[in-house]
Amino acid sequence: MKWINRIIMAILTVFVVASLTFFLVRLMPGSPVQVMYLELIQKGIPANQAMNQVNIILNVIPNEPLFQQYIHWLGQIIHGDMGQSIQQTGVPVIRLIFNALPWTLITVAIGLLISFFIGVLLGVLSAFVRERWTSSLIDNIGSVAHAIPQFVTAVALLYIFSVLVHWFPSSGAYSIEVFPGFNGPFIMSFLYHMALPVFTYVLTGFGAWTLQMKASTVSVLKEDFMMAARLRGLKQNTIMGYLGSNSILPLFTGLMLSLGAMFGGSVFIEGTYAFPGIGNLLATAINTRDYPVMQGCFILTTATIIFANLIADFAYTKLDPRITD
Amino acid sequence: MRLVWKVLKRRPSRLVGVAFLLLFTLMAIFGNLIYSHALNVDPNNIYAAPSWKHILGTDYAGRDVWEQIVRGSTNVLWVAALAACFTMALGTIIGLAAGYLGRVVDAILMRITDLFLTIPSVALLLILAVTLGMSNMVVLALLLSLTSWGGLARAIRSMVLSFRERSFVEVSRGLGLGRWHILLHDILPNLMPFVWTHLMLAITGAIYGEVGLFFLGVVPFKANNWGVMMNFATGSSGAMYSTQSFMFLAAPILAIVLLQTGIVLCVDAVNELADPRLRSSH
Repeated sequence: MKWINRIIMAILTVFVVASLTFFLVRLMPGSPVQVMYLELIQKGIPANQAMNQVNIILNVIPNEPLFQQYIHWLGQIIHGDMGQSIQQTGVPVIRLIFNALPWTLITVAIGLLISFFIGVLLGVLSAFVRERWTSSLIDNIGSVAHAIPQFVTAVALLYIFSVLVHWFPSSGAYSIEVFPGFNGPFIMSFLYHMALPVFTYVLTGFGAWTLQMKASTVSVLKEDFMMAARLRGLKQNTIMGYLGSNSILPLFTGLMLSLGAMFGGSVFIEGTYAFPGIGNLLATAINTRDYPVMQGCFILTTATIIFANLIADFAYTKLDPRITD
Repeated sequence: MRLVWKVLKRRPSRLVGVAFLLLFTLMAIFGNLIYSHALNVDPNNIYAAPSWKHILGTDYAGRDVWEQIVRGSTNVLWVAALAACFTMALGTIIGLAAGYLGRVVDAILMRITDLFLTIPSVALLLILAVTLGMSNMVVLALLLSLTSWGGLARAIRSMVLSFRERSFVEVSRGLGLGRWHILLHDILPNLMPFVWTHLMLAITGAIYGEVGLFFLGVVPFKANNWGVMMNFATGSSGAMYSTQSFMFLAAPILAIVLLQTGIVLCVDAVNELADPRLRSSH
């Protein structure tokens, strides 16, 4: 029963976000719907033909009352039609997004896993050497790495590794000589192009995990059961096992919540490396005021994150025996 | 004042952080007084190497890079400080309300907070910036805070929920003091150390969002922002791919890194200053 509620909540959230983007674009001064309609009329296109065209691209009939526009638009969204791109005429938004999403999902996932791993290791290390200067060094490095914006790191890495020394390519997700598909050269080329973006995710991401893991480990170290385990003379390895599994648990919910920040960061990172993912798509859409693409990217990334959170919650109850439904 | 000094000198990293912060604050306050004239465009001096006349060299139009950094700092710091204050106000008020005004308010406010926490804030910020348009710096600061209060509100709420059950609040309630009196005199003071610490982090977040917007070129350009400099260096001027322009690219990067480092290194000092319990333990 609890899970049905959660799923309904998740769907409702996606619905609210979608509606918000609709009204945001519609109610702003100089609404793109009106602008586009008037532009078409000015080009000498008859009124109902212009209306038709606006309908295809933006999923909205300009002369209808706002509420009916909204219902109409929602109906299209539910059928998977998010309109067409303004800039790339005739290309459905949904296709642009599904071309871009896999690149982002793979890089974000790999970047997240590596930074999580490094962060957890450094965090435990810092908790163990708590009183010494190494600990404070690790903490400071962690918080500084966390505070430096992704685009700064991205630009710096791009400058060092592909402008100064030509070790890594400066743009694209694979080189033009390989065919996309499940073959060796393509995968190698993809990994090669992916290196800098992933490195940027890791450099800007591990700091937060280090700090969280340290805080969590320190608090678990103070727990009574750790003392009891030590008093019983358990082996160091067993104690470490208890410590590890108890202090890493709270981080798992954070793992999924951080997806939002990672997707946000992908706007900067993919923009800088001209990596054809969803962040890059959103960045170009925003720069060219391509409203349908903007809305589509926003709704789909939000939906992805919301459902990732749902899965994380579900997994968390399985991982942590103390939680029962 | 002596207390501040005592707290600061306990760790060398804090001194370094404060030094950076002071440097940038001075830059922000006095920068526009020193460089009140318009920037000189000097076509004969494009990408000049660092010299006594141009400490950090010149950019693609022969303008002094150091001067641009100094002028940019006013804008960056002013908006960041403003945005951080807005974030604090929003997060604290919503957190207090959710934790203290009963179940219904709590449920509604926390749903909204969850919504803002799951939405990718950078994407929301970009879309809001484009659709609403950026007329002035206060609006920019408001938008920055609108996308970043969620974490604080959540933390404040859970702290309020735990403080409500503590004995000192119990005592005040037993004495018959009003709800508002308890909220303002018993609970809020206990939250302040956390709020002050979070203020510093909110500043770093605001700098990230603000410079990022300018870097992507979403906000109409007002010259003299570090993000605009980076945008020009990596984008239109093509400076990135000519090694002679190194200073033009490196200067804004370095400025951002140093400023963020300075703030982060000060965080634990602020924490200690705001929380008397931490001080007495030393």
